[in-house]
This record gives sequence, structure tokens and C-alpha cells, in this order.
Amino acid sequence: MLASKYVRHLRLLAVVGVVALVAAACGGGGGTSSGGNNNATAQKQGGKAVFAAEQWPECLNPITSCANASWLVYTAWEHVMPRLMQTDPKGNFVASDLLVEAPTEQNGGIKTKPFTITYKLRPEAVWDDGSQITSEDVKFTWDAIMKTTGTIGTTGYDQIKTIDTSDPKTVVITFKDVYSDWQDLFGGNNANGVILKKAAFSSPNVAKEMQTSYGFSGGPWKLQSYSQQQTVLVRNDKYWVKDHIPLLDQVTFVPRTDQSTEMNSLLTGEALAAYPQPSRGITKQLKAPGIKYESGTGSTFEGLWMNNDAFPFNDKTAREAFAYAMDRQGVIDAIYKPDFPEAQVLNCAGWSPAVSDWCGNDFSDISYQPDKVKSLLEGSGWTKGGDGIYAKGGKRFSVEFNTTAGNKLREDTQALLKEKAKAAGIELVIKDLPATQLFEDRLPKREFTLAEYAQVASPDPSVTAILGADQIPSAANGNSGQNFLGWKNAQATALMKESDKTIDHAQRRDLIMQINKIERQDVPWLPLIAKPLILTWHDDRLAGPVGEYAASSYSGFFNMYDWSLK
Amino acid sequence: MLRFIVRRALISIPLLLVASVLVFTVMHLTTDPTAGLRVNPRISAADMQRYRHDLGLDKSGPAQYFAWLGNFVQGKWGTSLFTNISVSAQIREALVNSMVLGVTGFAIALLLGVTIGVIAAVRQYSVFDYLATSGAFVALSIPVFWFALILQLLFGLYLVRWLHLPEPIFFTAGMVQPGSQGFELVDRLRHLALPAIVLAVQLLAVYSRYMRASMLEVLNSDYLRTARAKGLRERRVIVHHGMRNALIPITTQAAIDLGGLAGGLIATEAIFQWPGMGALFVRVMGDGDYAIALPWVMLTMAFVIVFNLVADILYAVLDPRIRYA
Repeated sequence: MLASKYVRHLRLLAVVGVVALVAAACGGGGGTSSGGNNNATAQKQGGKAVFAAEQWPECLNPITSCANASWLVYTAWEHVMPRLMQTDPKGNFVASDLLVEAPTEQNGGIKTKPFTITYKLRPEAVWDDGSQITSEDVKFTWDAIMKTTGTIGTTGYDQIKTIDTSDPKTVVITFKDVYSDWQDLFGGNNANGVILKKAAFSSPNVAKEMQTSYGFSGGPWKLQSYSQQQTVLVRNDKYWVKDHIPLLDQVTFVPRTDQSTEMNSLLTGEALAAYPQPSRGITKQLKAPGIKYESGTGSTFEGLWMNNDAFPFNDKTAREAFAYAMDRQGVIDAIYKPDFPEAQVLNCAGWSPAVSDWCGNDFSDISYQPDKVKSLLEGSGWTKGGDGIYAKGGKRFSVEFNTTAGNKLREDTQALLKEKAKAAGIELVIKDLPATQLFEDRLPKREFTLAEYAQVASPDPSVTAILGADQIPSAANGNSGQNFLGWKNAQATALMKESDKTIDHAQRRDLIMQINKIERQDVPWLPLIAKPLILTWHDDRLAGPVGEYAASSYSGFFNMYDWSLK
Repeated sequence: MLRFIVRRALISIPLLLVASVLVFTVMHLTTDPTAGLRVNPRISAADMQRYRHDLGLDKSGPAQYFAWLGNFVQGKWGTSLFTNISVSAQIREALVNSMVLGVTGFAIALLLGVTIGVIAAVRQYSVFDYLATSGAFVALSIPVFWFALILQLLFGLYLVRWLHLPEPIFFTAGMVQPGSQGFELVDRLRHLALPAIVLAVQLLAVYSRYMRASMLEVLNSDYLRTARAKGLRERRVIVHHGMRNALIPITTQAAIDLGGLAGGLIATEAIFQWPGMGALFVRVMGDGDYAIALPWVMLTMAFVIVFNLVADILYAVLDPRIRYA
């Protein structure tokens, strides 16, 4: 009797619990999906906002390896540091607020013999203490990048011969040779694309500087404080572009590195905006009162990367047959479209359609076609075994398929591709690895057959680093280089090198299109999708063009100077 | 006793060394501090080589380990491989944060766990006993991360809505109110509450079960019957005679748990964004930053060793029959 009473109470508790959970899951419902910018006519000035950061930079130095953390860029230096060139929301290079105009051949900013770029700095551009931003600051930054212990990368900067500083507001950079990616130096998409204030440092070796603070600002915001708990930015009233002086008094980024916590922070209103990694079901979570999101195609693209020296991918026909056995459209439809209806199969051979006009769509003829797999494989001596899998010379078309363990989107992709590949006579054996093992061991040592991972498309279209024949990691070069595929096409490599030295956009595009076509012929890898990016915010509390930079490589927070409280 | 303590301290030195070698070997074989740079297409092979040289990563594994050990025994903990920030400062900050959270949750759990365990034992098979037993099993069964997320929603969203509160009673993440500067005790406590509850609920369940079982055993012992026969009041019998002996097993468990708290609480710290030792360890292991990971291991192991020693000493204090030579 007593026991049955407890059972009844427990049942009641269970029912209450379930109802609470269902309410939690279905809560709200008044949210809107993507829907363009919020164009408030009269924006309020002042106030404070808190935004959630899904990753947290461990230090702030933009010259050392700290700068390899994207979230350092998103939460700190893109708001605080000036730069020369930058990219617009479409991924095109444009002049930053620091420049009078972007250098071109027409305005005399680009000269080819010797290769020289001349930047005109705006006369009114000043640091937050009112002192002028000058060509000396640019030269000092070059010194810092070249001389700092543990500098993140000197690529491109090592091509600079001199920086002329005779005019404080004119920066004349002379290169040793033609350097087509000049726009990524001191700006653009480079991890160390900043300009430092010379007067703030005693030496160009800045390894021990800027760990947890910046003593200066040349951006719309000033860094008030940084810790493992928060980064606080306040308005820089000395910013010279009046339209870009922030409307908010203060923005605080807080680490919410667990996505569930991040979403809870947003739902509870603790954070007014977040820039989460796309995950399955994320947009469903965002259908809550007052929450809005904007998504778009980003510059990060996912691919199926084949080891061109490992069986069976050491044979071009096998690679092509494999491509026809991959149901890429099925992956997009089942996995991405429910959350991102605009998602499409990627057909660019190393570029993203969201970044400039380098994508040739050359893989668009490749779709899931088991008949084509059959004709290609059987035409080159493969026969189907009793288990339904093709074999040649006693070796089955069975491929170990690696990706980063724990990544749900990739795991779902693998499961779907495996099922369809089997129906086409190809076996995929899924073996996922910790990210560190995949990226630090298997790929550099080229101990893999097939792997799914992402690369980032830059506005500069060079793919030499990841596809050049001289970039194949090996024991001889200490496993350096990022052409993990081992693709060695001399013609494509020559075109890459030529493209890397071509300044004219149209001419360069022609070369890139040729590389696109060669890649399609050789099928050294198979593009899958340009990953969507998503910015989500409290539409009931934030006003302004929020979401305009959602798909930008600078993150959706780039233009937060234009955001205000409602 | 002193000889016992000295012997235990001496035994722990090779233990610490073995642990540091193991951690270094595992990290050396499975992680690469330059991995993140390796997949950055803007970083050339020459950059990589220079970078590895700057960090001393181009030396052999044993050379790197002994260089670290030599500095460590001289008290030079050095700087992080990535950030150039002092290792001791990072560990000190994380340790303080973990201990604040850990000790708070632990104190709540110990106090309530002992009380509930004693009452449940004294009133065996009562409604309270059934509720305490069921509650303990539920608490032990709930996954930490799920419980933490539910608390976040309950306090951060639903109570605010239902009670029309201007802000949550307890904050759902972080250690301070975003944007605030300086130290405010009430604000800290409101941030501490939810992670401390999550920790306390888990420990409380364990302690209440331990205490109940231990107390039941003591309640049926001859010496307690003798105490009652002497005419002592029941409260005195339970508190002075029963509890002292019943506390022995829980003391050992609690001391070991307290030592383990120095290592942080990985799930709780991750969900509540509490920048403690658990969060630090996850970060540095992922980065392959052995400059922080090795001192971290040495310190947390030292805590475990010390608190095991404390448990043994307390054991002797609580039970006069036990003597260490």
C-alpha cells in the first residue's frame, strides 16, 4: 500500500518532468529563420551587449601562434587593429578604412618593374591617443613579423625588399619579385594581417608582448580587458570614420565553448548574439521568441580527399569511379538542407562560390551514377565479387574512410555515403580518429586512403600550398607541406606558379579556370560542400545590419560597430 | 607517525617522476603543438621549421623532457608553448577557481550527505529513508552534463519567465557578470551556485549512502547497546558514540575526493564555463602544450598523494586502535 503510494508520486514526478522537458524542447516557436538585415531607421546610441564566443583565444598576440585562433580575430584584433586591405561580405578585397583607396595599376598604386605597391593612408587616421597612423607603423609591423620569436608566418612578408617611409602617409612596399597575394599582407585574410603601433614597443621582437592586452587601438573599438572569462571592448571615440564609431558603449564577449551552453546563453538572453558552428538541428533550437538567424555559404569547404599514391586511388579511373559512387546530393538533401535550405553540392576544385569568382563548377557533371561506376571500373578490368564489391588483381575496392571523431555532421555524411557506395560496388570502412591524430599524424605522414576534412578558401586564389607538386609531405622534408593527396600534376603545378605571379584579375582567373579543369580530369579529390555559417541574435533586443557579415571570413561580428540596442 | 609521513613523501617522488614521463611520452606521441599551424595554408614549410626550432620542438623527446625537468626542479615552470604566458600563473588561477567550486560543492555535499545518511539510518524504512534512498539513486544516475543543462534552462529561462524576474536568481555560466570589473561577492556566489549544486548532488548521493550504511552497522553494535543501557540519551548515543565511528569510512572517501578536486571537474567546468583545472587540462592536452600539462599532472598528483596521506592520518585520529609505524 505504502509502496504503491510512492509509485504514484514518482509517476506524477516523472510526468511533470517529461512535460517540463517537452515544454523546454518546444518552447517559444515565435522565432524567425533567416530573413535579411534588420534595418532600423533610427538607432539608439549607448548601452552594453554581451555576445557568446564558441572558442576562446588563449592569448592576444597577432604576430605569434596566438593568431592561429580564428576567435582571436573575431573577438579582438579585427575590431581593434587597423589593416591595409580587407574583404567585403562577398569575399572581395577592398580598401580598409585606413586607406584613401585600394592600389590599382590605374591609380599608380601597383607597378610591376620592380613590383611595388603604394598605399595612401588617410590623413585623418589616428591611434586612440590621437597620434597619427603612419608608414613607420607599417614598416615596424613588417620588422615584427620577420623578427619575432615564434612568429606565425613570414610567407609573403619575406618577399618584401623594402618599405619606404619617407612620407608618413604613404607606404611604398617594394617586393623582390611579383607577389600576387600582396592584398593579404598587413590585412586581408592573413592571421597576422594587422598594423602595430610602433611607439607602443621597444623592440620588433614582440614575442612577450600583447599576451593579454593591447596598449593601443586603431580600430572602431578599444580593448578594455581580456581574461579567460571575458573580453571587453569599448568604443574608440577617436576613430576617424564617423559612420563606423560604435553605437554601443561596450561589447563583452564571453566564452561559451560548449555549444549547448552557448545556445542556453542565447535562449536565456544572457548573450544577445552568437556565431555557432553549424550542427544538425541547430536552426530548430533557434526557433524561439525573439531569436533570429542569418546563414550563408562560407569560405570553408568540405571535401573527400584521396591519397593518390594509395590503392585504389593511385589509379585515375578508380578515382573517377569513386566520385560517381558518392551521393553528394543525397548528403546535402538529408543532412544540410533541413537546417540550411540554400545548401548546395560544391563543384569548385579548391575554391568557394562565396569567395570572389574563382569557382569553375567543373565537378558539376559528377553525381551519384552507379551505372557510370560500373562502366568505368569494368572497362578497366575490375570485376564484381560475390559480395557485390568490385575487385582487381585480387584486391577489393575497399577503402578506409577517416574523419574527425565526434563530428556529428561528418559521421552522418560517412554513414550515408557508405550505404550508397556499397550499392555501387565500393566498400567504405569507416574509421574515425581524434582530430589531433588525423591532422598531426596520419595526413602529414600520408598514412590514409580517404579522409573527409575542410579547407579554407581565401580571396587570393592560390592553391599551391595544398595542391602543388612540390608541397607533398614526406620524410625527406620533415613531413612539411600540405599536399596530403600527393597529387603531382606538372601542368597544374606550373599553372599554379604562374597564377601566383599574375596580378591582373582576368588573366589570373583564366589560369585558375585551367587548374579547375585539370583537377576535374584527374579527380585527385572530390569537393563536397562549402560549409554554411550562421549568426544568430536577439532580434527583439539588437538593431542594425546584424547578419550582414554572417558568411564573411571575419565572422558575423565584424560590423558590430553598426549594431545598437532596441 | 612522522616516519610514516616522511616515508610516504619519499615514495611519492618516483611516482611523480613516472607520471610525468608517462604524460610527456603520451603527449609526445599523440599530439603536436604545431598541428594547428600545419593545416594553415599560409604557413610555409620553412615557417614550420623555424617555429619548431624557436619552441625547441626540433630536439629529441628525451632532450625536451630533461630540459623541462631540469627547470621544473629549480622552480622554473616557464611559459606556455603557445602563449608565452607564465605556466605558474595559469595553473594558480585555474587551481583557485577549481578549489572554490570544488570545496563549496564538497562542503555542501558532506554536510547534507552526513546528515541525510544519519537520519536515514536512524529512521530506517521510514518515508524519509525511502525518499533519501530514491533521491540518491536518481542523483547517481543523472548524467552530469544533462543535469547541468537542465539547471541552466530552469534558472536562466523558465524561472525568470514564470516568476517575471528581471534576471536569473542564479547565473547560468561563467564566474562573473559579463562586462563587470572587480570582485563582487554576491555576484560570484550567484555564478557559483549552479555548478556547486551539480557537484554537490553527485557527491551528496555517495556520502549519504556511505553514511547510512556505516551508521546502520554502528547502530547495531554492542558498544552502542551498552551506551544505551547506561542510560545515555539517544541523541548523545548517536552523535557522540555512533557518528564518530560511522564517520571513519566517509572520512577516507571524502579526503580522497577532496584531493581529486584539484584536477578539476571536466564536464561541470565545461558546461558552466568555469575556468578551472579541468578546463585547463582539456585545453592544453588538445594543444599538445606539455609545458603546462606536465606541471598540471605533478600538482594534481601531489594533491592526491597529500590527501590520501591526510585520510590515513584522520583514520588514526578517529580510530585510536590504528597506529602507523
